[in-house]
Amino acid sequence: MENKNSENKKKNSRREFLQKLGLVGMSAFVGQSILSSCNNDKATVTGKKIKVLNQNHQLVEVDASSVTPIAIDETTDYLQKQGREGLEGKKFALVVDLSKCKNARKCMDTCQSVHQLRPEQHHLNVLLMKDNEHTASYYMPKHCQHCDNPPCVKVCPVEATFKRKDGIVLIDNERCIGCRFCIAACPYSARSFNWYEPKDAELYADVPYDIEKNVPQRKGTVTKCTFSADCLREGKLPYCVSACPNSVYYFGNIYEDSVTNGTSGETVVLSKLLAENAGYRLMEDLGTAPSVYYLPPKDRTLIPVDESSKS
Amino acid sequence: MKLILFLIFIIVIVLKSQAQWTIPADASQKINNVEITPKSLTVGKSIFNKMCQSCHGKKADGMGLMKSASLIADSLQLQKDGVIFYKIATGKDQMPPFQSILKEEEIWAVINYLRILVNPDSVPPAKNVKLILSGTGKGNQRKVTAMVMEKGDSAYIMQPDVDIHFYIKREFGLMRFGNDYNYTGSSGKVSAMFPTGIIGDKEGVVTIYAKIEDSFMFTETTDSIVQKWGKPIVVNNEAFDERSLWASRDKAPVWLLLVANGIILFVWLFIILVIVNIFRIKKLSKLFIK
Repeated sequence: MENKNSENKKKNSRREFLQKLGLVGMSAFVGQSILSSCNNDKATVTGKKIKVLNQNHQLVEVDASSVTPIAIDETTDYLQKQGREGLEGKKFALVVDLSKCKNARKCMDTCQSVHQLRPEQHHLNVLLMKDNEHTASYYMPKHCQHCDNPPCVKVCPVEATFKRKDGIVLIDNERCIGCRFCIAACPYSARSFNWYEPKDAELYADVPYDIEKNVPQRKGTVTKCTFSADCLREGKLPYCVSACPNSVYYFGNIYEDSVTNGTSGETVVLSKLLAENAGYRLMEDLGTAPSVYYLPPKDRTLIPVDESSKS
Repeated sequence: MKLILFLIFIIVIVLKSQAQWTIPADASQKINNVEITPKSLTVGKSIFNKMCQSCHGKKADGMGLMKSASLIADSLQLQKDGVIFYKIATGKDQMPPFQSILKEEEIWAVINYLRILVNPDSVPPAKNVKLILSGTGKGNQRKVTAMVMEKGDSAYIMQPDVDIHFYIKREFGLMRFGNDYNYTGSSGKVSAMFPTGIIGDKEGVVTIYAKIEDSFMFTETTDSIVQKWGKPIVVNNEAFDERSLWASRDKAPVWLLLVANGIILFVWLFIILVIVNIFRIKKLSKLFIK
C-alpha cells in the first residue's frame, strides 16, 4: 500500500518528466533524420557501442557505425602453419644492456597488455639483482632465453611447445594439456601458467588463435615469451624492444650479425658489440645455448647517483 | 571527510610539483659560448634525436616513451642557459646525468637546438640539394662517394661543407659507417670506406644509403645504391635438421626410437609367447585326457 501511495505522489512529476523526455527525444530524432537525409554518408549513428583495442592497446568504446566489418578468413589454419614453420633465413637474438636498465618497466607493461596477461603473469620480468651485501644492485630484465637446446621442448609430451627454424621457442595452447612439465624443466623460470581465466577473456572470445602471439590465452595452459613473432613477421622489432625508453634492448638477426637498438634505432655489429662489452649468456654451463645475450652492468653513467648507490 | 581527503590530495600534488631542483648559484652564471650556427644546430639536433627524443618526444613536448618534462614549454624556455646546462649535466631521478658522455660544447649545442625549437623562424629556410651516391673499389678497398649539388641558374653548383651520413641496410634498421662527421669538400664530394666483413643477402648484395639529415641548411635527402660487396649470408639449419630430443616427432633420435619401440616389441612378444603357451597347454591337456 505504502508503495502505491508513494507511486501516486510521484506519478505526476514522473509523467511530466517522461513527456518532456519524449519531446526531446522526438526532436532529436527528427533533427537527426533531417540531417542524415541531407548527408549522403550512409553511416548513421546507431547508438550501439562496440569495444575495440586501439593501437596503444587501450580499450575504447566506439559507435558501431564507425566500425567496418571485414571478411574474416574462415579457416585460420594458416596461422598454425606459418606459426610452426617460422621465418626462412633468419635467426633472432636479443641483447640486454644491463648498464642502461633503470627499471622503467615499460617493456613489461607493453608485453602484458599485448599478450593478455594478468599483472602476476610474466613473459618478461625485470628483477632486482644483488649478489651480496658488498656489491651494488642492478636491474635485470629476464625473457625466455629461446635456447638452441631447449629443455622445455624436450619434456613436452604432446609437442605443444616447439622450436622453429628462426630460433624462436613457441607454445601452442590448442595442444597444451597443462601438465606444466615445461615450467619445471625451464632453468630460467621463463614460463607462467594460466591458473585463472586470462585477462579480458571476453574481449578476445571471437579472435582466432594466433600461435605467434599466443593470444587469446586459454585457462589451464602454459604461456611464454614469443619474441613477438607476430611483429617479426611484419619486419618490426618486438613490443618490449621498441617500448624501452632507456636503450636497453638490441634485437637482430644472428645470420646477418647485426642488432638494432629499439630506442635509438642505432644498428651495430652483434659480434663486435658482444666482444667490446664482454657479453655473456645466462647459465652457460647447462648447455642450453640461449639466444639472449647480456652486457654486464658496468659504467652505469646514465643512472643517477642516488639510484645506483641504493641497496 | 571526503573534502579533507581531497584537500590533502591536492596539497600533496602541489608540494610534489614544487619539489625544487636546487641549482648552485655559480651554475646558473655559466655562459653559453657556443654560437647558434646551422652547423652547431645540426650537432644539437642529432644529439637530441639520439639521447633525448626517446623520453621527451620527437617534438620535445614531453610525449616520449617516458613521462617527462616538456622542453618547449615556458617552464623550461624561461630558464637561463646555465641552469639548463646544469640539469642536463647532473640529471635527477629519471633524467640521466649526461656529463660523462657528452662534451661541454655538445650540451650547449643541444640547448641552442631547444631554443630554436620554439623560435624556428630565426634560422634561414633549408635549401633543396641533389645527392648522388656512387661506389668504387675492390676487395678491402671499397669506398662510397657522395656528391652534393645545388641546382643553379645554368648548371649544378657543388656544395661544400654538407654533413653526409652513410648507412648499410640491415634487418631492423640502418647501420651507420664512416666517420662521425663526413663534410663534403670544395668539390662537393665526400667518401667513406666500406667496412669489411659485412654480410649481405644470399648473393652478398647490400643496399647502401647516403643521407643528409638533422640539417638546418638542407632538406632531408637520400640516395641509395645496391652493390655486391658483402659476404653471402650463411643460413645454418644443421642443428634444426638434426635428430634431437627437442626436435619434432619425425626427427626423434635413433636411440630413443630403438629403446621405445624395443620395449613395445618386447611386451608384445611376451604377450604372444603367453598366448602361444596357453594353446600349447591346451593341446597337452587334450593328450592327458586321452
